[in-house]
Amino acid sequence: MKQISILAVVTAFLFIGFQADAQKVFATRNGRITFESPTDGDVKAVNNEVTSRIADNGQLTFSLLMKGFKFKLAEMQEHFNDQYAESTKFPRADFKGNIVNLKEVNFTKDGSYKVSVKGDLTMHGVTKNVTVNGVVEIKAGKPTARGSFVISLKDFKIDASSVTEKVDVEVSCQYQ
Amino acid sequence: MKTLLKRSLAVLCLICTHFFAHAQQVDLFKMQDSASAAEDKNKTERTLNTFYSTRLVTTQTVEITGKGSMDFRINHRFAPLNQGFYNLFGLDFVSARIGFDFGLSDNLMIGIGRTGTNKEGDGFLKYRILRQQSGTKNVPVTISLLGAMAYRGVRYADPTLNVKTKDRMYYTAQLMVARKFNEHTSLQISPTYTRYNRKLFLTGGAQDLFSIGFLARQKVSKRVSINAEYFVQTQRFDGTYNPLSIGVDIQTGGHVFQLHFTNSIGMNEHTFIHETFGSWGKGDIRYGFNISRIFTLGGKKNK
Repeated sequence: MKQISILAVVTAFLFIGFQADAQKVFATRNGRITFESPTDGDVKAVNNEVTSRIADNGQLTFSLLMKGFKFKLAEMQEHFNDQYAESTKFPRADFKGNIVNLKEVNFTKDGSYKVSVKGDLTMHGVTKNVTVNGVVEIKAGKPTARGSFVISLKDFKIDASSVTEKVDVEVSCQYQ
Repeated sequence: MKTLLKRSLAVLCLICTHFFAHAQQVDLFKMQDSASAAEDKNKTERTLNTFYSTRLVTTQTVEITGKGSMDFRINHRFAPLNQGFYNLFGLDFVSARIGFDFGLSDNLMIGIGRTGTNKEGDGFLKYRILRQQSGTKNVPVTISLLGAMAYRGVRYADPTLNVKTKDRMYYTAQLMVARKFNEHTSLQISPTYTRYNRKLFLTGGAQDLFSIGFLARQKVSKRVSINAEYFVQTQRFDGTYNPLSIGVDIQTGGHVFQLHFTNSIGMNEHTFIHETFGSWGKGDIRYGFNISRIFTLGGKKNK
């Protein structure tokens, strides 16, 4: 009898422990990232196969294949992969960051939270620290993240000056 | 006693897992790296841009015009350089082919064209059967098939020749096998069959002709490549030579400029492979250039 009660106490303690410590991770494989040139509206592509994860400890990651960017113009897509992004040499773009103002986000409570995410963006073999402002929305316990930022292609050693110098990037992910 | 031991063990195990779970905080950064690595291991990479364009100099490459795109191509061949300064080294005379190519699907294209010399109209269909790829699925080469025909519209003054419509038709079937060895070097072999329904002002050779084309591309920068193409014929018309062309491709956005030197004036398969009367050895070299401009058909949707 005594043993059973000890067991019960330990088990209860364990459960409480898990409750307090378990980290919640949300993920998606169908995140959406688009970019568009601010000077030439034809230079526009969308990638709907972005893998992304967000955890309630503030970590946020994105990973995508450069060849996953779809352009309206098949020729433009080939040039993008062949000459600018050099997708065979650098197939992946990757972001690893943290929510700076994590205290203002409550993952357990529905609502819309403004966030600032700081982290390392790796693309075309170059890693740069970037800050992205966006919104994390919690709905029925599941987060959605949206954000936008501007990339100066020179920073990533992509020489596309004849096409565009900057691109506006938009991110939209609905996590499960 | 036995049950007590069992229970203690179970509790111990639980505590262990508990601490283990504590120690192992989930790190999304590491999780992403391992997931990406696993994914990269299982993917198949399609080879892009074996050649810059659907033609190397005059010869068709395995490339297909993008779906929904129209490629407006103007090819020029000048007179031979060895005509000297009086003809400005050949630049006073030019033969041109104006053509439109259309990408029908990812692997199928058609094209039509008109050449000044001999007033030829031509049409072709090119289909990519196989695409080079690496990864889980390895395909070492890209293979395309070409079917082309041309109609020679020039008027023959001599009525006794009795030239019928079918005598003006020329047919070509070509198999193209290409491999992109690395970012810089691509090679292609093109076994070719050409049919002359009638030999007009040509002696020797045959009406059914076989040849093999050799094409090479060497990139010297991201936007510039040096190209060469050469055809070996099994049978030749009298007075003709094997065509050899050496050129440079310059790629700028939606345009490709192709500048080259060649001993052939023809721009359709049967003419440039089998009716090349110039010889590199004798200096019958012509300057030529192609301009390709890609347009998109189908309006601007989904803004």
